[in-house]
Amino acid sequence: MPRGGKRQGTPGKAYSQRSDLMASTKPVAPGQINPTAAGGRVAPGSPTPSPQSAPQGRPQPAPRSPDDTPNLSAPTQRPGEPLTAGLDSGPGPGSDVLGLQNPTQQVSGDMQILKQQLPLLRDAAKFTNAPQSFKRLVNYLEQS
Amino acid sequence: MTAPTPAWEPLSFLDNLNAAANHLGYANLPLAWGLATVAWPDLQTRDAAFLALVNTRPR
Repeated sequence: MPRGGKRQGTPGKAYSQRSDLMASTKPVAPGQINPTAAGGRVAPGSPTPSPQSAPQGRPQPAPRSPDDTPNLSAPTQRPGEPLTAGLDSGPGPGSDVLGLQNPTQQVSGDMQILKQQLPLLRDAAKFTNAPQSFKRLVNYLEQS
Repeated sequence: MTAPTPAWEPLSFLDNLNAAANHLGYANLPLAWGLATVAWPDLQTRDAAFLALVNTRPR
């Protein structure tokens, strides 16, 4: 039996491996939803179901319009906040309100954690064929 | 009797760490450590990724 390539299906035949074709092909009366159809599509000509008919228990998101998204030409939504808020210069609060960590402190803290692995790295530098660059790296960690 | 010395394995964590540290510089060792944990498929892909991070061409 040839494999691959385009297949010719037989209309009306049930294919057990094609779960996407298992939906009922019977016509649906206008106003009814075919529950077995893929995606629960509404029959043509039927009215759109109202939000009240949606399944209970899942909150429906509020409908959004394009005007809900601010754009560059929109007026500021924080009229009382200076432009320099978050900067260390100018009016308004400084960068401490951003809650950022000093990158230098963070790296040095990470380096301390790395140094805890130094005994293992020192042993690894003795591996057969360990590159010279790795030995230099271990030396750097030992001296820093 | 002593155990045989392990051999250095390409694409191992240590090899990745060494390559990342050499590409990114020792000042970025924490980043190199993180990149060393990636399961790189081969040496070319790994080194290309490191070179892309520092935006340099292979010599």
